[in-house]
Amino acid sequence: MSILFALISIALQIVGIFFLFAAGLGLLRFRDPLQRMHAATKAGTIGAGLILAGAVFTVDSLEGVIVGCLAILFLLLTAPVAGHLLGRAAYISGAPLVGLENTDALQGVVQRHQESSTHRAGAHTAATNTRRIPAMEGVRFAIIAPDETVIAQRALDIGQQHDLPVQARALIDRNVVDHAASPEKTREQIKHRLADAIGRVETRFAQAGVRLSMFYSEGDAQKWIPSLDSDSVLLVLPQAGWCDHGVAPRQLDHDAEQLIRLARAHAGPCLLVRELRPSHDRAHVVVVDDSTERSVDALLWAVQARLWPTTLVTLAQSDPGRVAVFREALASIGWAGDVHLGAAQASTGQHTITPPDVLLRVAPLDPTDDVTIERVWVDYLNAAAFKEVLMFPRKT
Amino acid sequence: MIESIQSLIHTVAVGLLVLSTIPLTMTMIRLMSGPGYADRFVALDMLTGIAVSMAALACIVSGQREYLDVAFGLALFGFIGTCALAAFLERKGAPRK
Repeated sequence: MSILFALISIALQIVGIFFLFAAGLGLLRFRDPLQRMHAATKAGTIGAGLILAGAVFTVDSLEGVIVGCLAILFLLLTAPVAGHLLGRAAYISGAPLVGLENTDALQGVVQRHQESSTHRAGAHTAATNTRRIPAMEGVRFAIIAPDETVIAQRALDIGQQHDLPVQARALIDRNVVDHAASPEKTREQIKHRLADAIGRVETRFAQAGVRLSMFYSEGDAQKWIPSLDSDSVLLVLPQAGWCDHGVAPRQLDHDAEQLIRLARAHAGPCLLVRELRPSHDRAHVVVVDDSTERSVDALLWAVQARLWPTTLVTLAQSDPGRVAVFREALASIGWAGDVHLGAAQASTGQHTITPPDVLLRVAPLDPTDDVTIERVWVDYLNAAAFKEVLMFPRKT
Repeated sequence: MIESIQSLIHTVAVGLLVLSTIPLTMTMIRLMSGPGYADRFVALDMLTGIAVSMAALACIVSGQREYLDVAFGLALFGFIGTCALAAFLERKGAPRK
């Protein structure tokens, strides 16, 4: 063995150990799994490879050299594959992304599980329902121009109130573009309107000092706006308007129907907002009672999530026996207020003291009811009877 | 001359073998403290890399080239292990009920 080889070998080993040390340090000091992986896979592989190379320079048999070179080659080939698999798995499993500076570019592209509570440092629960509805863990809203400010403000308020992450979804409805007389021109118009709206929303959030993660796409709103798997996200939608952002001619019925379909595709609760209520103003909540536990759960969830301060609840489509059930459930969480039986139809508020301004109901049980019930919903929205409508998923 | 070079390489390799316990310890700390599965799996992947380097250093110290085969085998199984754990992690994260 020549002296040169020996010196090269020693140098390679020392550099290799240095890289391993750097990798270990990175593994220890970085703040989230993906950053740690960045250190471990890159520096770790080069460290191990260099030390192997150092060993190859000291062996004098040909087989040794071949095996050593193969090992280095193998390390270099597998490191990116293993790193990619591990990174993808970490992302999907909901590992925290502390180092993320801008918006999460994979959002909506790769399905991601909710961060489990063990991952989170100060795990907070905005509303803890002892029953079947999980606590709210995030707020999502749709940017629908030109009236996006009300929705954005409501989502911002809820996010601030509970210190929850807020996501915005800005969609261009491809159906509208495709069916327009001149698709290119329509797309341009929609893009401009949406860009303006996004700008206004971002400014508003920046002023409030709340971090907003934005998702922007063109495609099917039913696919991108609702959260299809996570029932702990509150979706905030307007009661009118659609993802053509005011470019196509207004069709109230069509818009309301689309919005209701969004709300029903969403796995968690959905809040359809018409106008902002003064935050201290007591809401008169109308609960459309479907005679199941789910209605009770939904009201408990809403009270605990403090969406509105409320002391007055009217039960619609209910019977006297249910009043006691609701009272008991609400008393169990320490809520003091009045529950009484309202008119048979939720949309008529004449029998009550103050006009109801919030409607709460669980999505209909029987799918065959869908057509008629959706019809009723469209009428509710178009009648402008309620400032806010909270729609609950049937099952979690 | 050759003798002294040989002993130098030997000494350096032994020294580095001892030094490599530092990244090993760091990795072990991460492996134990977690906090998530992802962190532990990353640490495990890193552990394989350190094991490969230690096998290479052992080859230099002992002068037996079979240790290079060991390093190769370790790298191979480390890769397969990482793939399996990644697949597990991808499926495991199903929403808690």
